[in-house]
Amino acid sequence: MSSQRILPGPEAPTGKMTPETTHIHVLDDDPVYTRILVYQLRQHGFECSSSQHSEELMVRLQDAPIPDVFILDYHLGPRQASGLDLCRKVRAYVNKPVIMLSANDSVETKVSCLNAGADQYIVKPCDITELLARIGVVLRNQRPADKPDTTGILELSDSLSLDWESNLMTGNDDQTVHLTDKEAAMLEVLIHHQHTAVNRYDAFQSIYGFAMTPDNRSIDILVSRLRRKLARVHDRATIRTIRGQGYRLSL
Amino acid sequence: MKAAPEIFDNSALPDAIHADSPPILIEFYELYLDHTQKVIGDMLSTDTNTNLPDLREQAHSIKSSSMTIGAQALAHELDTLEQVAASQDASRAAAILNALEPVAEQTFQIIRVEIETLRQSS
Repeated sequence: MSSQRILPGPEAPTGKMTPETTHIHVLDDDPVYTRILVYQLRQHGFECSSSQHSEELMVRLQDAPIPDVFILDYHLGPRQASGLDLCRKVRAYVNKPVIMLSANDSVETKVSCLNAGADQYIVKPCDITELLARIGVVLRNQRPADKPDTTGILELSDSLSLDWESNLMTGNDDQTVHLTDKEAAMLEVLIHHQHTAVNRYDAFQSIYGFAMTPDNRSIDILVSRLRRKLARVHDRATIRTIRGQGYRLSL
Repeated sequence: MKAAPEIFDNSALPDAIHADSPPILIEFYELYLDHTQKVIGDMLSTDTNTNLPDLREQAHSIKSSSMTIGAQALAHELDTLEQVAASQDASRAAAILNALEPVAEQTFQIIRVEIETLRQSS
């Protein structure tokens, strides 16, 4: 028997891009599971790409074209950004649907993913028909993109931006300030909920991945630090406290 | 009492990918063997007294593919190991790791035979 490679590699081209083609990007640290998933999706006509490390995804997101749907593993191991971090980034920076995959079906994990902006959550290993149905749902519910398909820099307003690699926020007169990962994460959460207030519990869970206890002040501290940094580089942008509701970014 | 999961279910992968073409199945099985043997080898050399988080990550990282490929008993052992490692119980983790080794070896052997059978049938 020939040893010819018959399965498409993770980055193999799968035919020309047509309006009917949906490009799905799969990120999972298990290369075997990723290949199986990619194979299944390609069998159903999707254009697919994949990565096993969050850094690969970050690089990919800076190159057009941006995939139409992201399938992200929740648990990527301790040596890379978590699936939750990536979910927030994808939602904030490229505003594309995210389906989170996890071997864990706990309510806490599901809520964390949904609070981080995930559109769907599916327990793996999953049946391909269920995954296809969920992809169908996110595509049907997809809002028209209100952000350009170019990334790397998140334009918060005409005079305020955030570079997602360096976490450098640039404001009026090109003044800059560096944000910590958690401050950047808080900003991403606020951007994702731009038109509504975010309550502290939801914000906490989407950043840390577990439920916040009532006496935990982490979010208040993060918001306070972010306010100070926003004030250093911008004359109008701030985070408002909406009584009884939470926090809201005001630009 | 729950029945012990079978070592290898050779219908799992064809069912998952809706394909029974031997070359495709062989490539997935070989990919699985390559990757999983390496990870299990690393796990077996892990010191459970000092490195439970790594053990937990490694067990987690091959659990879903083991289940999908049909390596049911190994997937079950990996799931148990992941949970025990998460609970920081080093001595139980070491015991499960010891029990996992023959299950893994048996699984790999059955998959090798399955690959050979598929080769002959194609």
